[in-house]
Amino acid sequence: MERLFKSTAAKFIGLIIASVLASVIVFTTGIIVLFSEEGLYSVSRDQFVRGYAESMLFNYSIKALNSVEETNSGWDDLVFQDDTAKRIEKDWKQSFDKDEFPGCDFLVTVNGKKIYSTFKDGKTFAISSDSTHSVNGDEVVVTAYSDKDGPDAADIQLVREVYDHRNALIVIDFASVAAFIALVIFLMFGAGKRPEDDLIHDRVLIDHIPADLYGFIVAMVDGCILAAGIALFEAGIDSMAIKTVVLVCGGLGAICTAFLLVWMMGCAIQIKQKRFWSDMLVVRFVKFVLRILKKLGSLILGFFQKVSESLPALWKIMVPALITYGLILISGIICVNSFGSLDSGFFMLFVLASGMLFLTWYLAYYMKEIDEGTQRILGGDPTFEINTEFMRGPLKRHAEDLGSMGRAVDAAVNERMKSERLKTELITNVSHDIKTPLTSIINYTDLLAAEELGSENAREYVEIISRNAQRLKKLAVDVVDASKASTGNVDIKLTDCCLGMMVEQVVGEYSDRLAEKNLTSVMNIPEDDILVSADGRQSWRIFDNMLGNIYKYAQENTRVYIDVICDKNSDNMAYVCFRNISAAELNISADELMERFVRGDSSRNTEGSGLGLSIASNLAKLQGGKMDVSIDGDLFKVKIGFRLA
Amino acid sequence: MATILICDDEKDIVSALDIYLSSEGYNILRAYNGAEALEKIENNNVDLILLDVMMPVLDGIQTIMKIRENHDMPVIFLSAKSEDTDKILGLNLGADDYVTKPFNMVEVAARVRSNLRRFRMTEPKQSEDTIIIGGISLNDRSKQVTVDGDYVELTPKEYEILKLLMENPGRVFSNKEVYKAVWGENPNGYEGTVSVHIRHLREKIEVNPADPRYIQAVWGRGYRLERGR
Repeated sequence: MERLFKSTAAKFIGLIIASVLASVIVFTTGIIVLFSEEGLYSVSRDQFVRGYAESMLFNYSIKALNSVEETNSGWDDLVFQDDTAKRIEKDWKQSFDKDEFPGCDFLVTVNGKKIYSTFKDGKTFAISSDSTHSVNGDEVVVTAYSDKDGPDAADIQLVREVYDHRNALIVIDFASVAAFIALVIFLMFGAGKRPEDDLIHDRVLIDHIPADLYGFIVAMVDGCILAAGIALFEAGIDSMAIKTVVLVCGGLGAICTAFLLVWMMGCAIQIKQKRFWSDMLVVRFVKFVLRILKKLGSLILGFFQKVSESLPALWKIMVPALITYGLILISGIICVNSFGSLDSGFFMLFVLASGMLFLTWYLAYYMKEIDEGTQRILGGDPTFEINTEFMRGPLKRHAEDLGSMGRAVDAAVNERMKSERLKTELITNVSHDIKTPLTSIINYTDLLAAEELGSENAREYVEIISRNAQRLKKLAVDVVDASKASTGNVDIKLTDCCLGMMVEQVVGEYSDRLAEKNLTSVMNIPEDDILVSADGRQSWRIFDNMLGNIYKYAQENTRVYIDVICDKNSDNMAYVCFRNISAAELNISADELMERFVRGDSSRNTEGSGLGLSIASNLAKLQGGKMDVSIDGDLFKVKIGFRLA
Repeated sequence: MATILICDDEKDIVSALDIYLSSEGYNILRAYNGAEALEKIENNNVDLILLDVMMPVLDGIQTIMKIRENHDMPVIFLSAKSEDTDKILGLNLGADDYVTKPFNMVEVAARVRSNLRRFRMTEPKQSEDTIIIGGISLNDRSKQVTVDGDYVELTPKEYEILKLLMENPGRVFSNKEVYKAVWGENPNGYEGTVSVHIRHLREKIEVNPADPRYIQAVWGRGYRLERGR
């Protein structure tokens, strides 16, 4: 079966058979339908043939009258007065040509009175049929007679044959329909299949014509052929042998069907390839139109959006309100016009609509006031008061609540700022108050150190006091800086600085001290100047702390690596990276080291306040940079980021 | 010997300074607030004043304004405030120098000495070969540099750097520019040397190299020579 579907020859033969069958179906069905009215299946053969002959005669009677009337340019518009019968009689006698109707005789009466006949009175006929016409109120009856079975012997013979084969006709008809349907299904399933594989193939050109365009072309071609067939049929039915006409017309019908079937197979292929709808011109056109409409729609919408955005807040609500107001009034006028004159009903409508408009305006106006007030409160004016003088109800309460919210926020912010300031002030004052007695301690320790002291121990004790006084001094300064840096209470003036040079300067400052501990600095600075946006003095503080730490905590006789790194593509930052080996074991995490008062050696024997990293980190952040500390065994690494200028 | 007025409300500090500076050979006058200081100045021949900023009765700021109405002897502020703005205010009001508490008495003595010298120094002969800025005088013919009248030994490079900065006071020189001008060649990555030389130069000509009076670092841009306080 599958091989049959794939066979091109089978499909070709199927197509031809189906086309022929279509013609057969049309003819057999046509004959059956046409002759059923005449009683093909209900009366005897003689009755059927007689009935057919009578209907032929009936047609002849009408045809005869019409031909006489036509040759005399019609009778309807003539004024006959009382001589209708005479006129018709005269016309009939003058122009009726009996030879046009071989095997027929005619009798014409007007109002029952005989005016014309083609035979002698007393002659008898086998069959007759009459038609009645009304001409200007007079009744004209034309009767056609035949003395044989019918007027046309050949026709009658054909009709007789049809009657004899009536059962066969029905069988042929139904069998043809069944066979046709089966063939069409076969063709549709088989369409596009080829013997070589299981794919659906399309013919290069013909199956890519959109189904609707293709269908239109087929319909036009078929229409032309059918029109030709019908014309041929009408012309030939009288002059040519009926069998020739049937063969020619049937052939044309078969060709039409073949075209149709080929088109259907094309559609089947397109459906199988799932592009039937999408390929259609109509669908494409509709899609195109829809796309244009969508674009147009979004353009129009965008326009309205733009217009509405540019409107002041009040008008955003008022424009639709005014349009609604206008619509209500217009519909009111239309209603009133269709019911009569302007009356009190319209006045009522006017008052109501105006009231609504005023209410909308009132709400819109105060919504705008609240909106603007909120914007001002959010925009940094928290104490702004919305004017609630004419507001009522929930609107008023909302406005007032916004006001108190703003005041609460303002109070909270002020409170916080005050507390931050007080904290820094307190620390500054305490530090200042510590410095004064500290000055005395340091000074008198120095004086004491210059005195002749009794014992060697005393000298050592003075030394200890002096060292700790120095530490206290450093702490008193650092604690203020740490407080200021952590609260952001530092003057930051960002200028373009050359990062590489800054590092060189700082390392230069420390060169002697590093040499003192035999620390070798290995600097890696890019050739090109790297400009960063930084405060020179605060950055110096940061680097001062870093190198101070290195001086204090790095293992002697080691190398210190200082790299300036800049990757312009990554995050718009430049980095300075310090790496050194810690002298003491770093049994502490990097995060803890950044905390205030925490130092690398928990014994706290060395100098320093433990605030250095915290200050540096905060100063880096205040300049828009950052600082990361990491520890890897004894390797201590600080990475300071600066924003590129 | 010079007479120094020490004015601070903290008696212990005044005593300590008195003891230390007396041992250096100065005559000392003591005052414990601004009003007393003004009185002492009127009645004595005072050569230099060490003045605390925060004092009762009359504070240091008001005191120096009064002093400057009639006198031009050097005034050195002593203050616990270490903010830059406080320093600038003090210097603008007519102070000659500034020491923050807690101070080192050696440094105070050095600043006293330096200020006295400069004040008393007969104005050096301004000749074509000599550049004078503040207390520094550089003679390009003899290649000699004096600070507050004392000769300073400089290496040739230090001398050249100082000369470059003194010839263009106020102008900022980057390390590269200094290197090119002094070494006469491109630094090729060795411009860091300049910072080391400047550090050494400062140690020779500044009273306190950590708080330099003349050679200032402009971080990230270079160095410049201030006209001196």
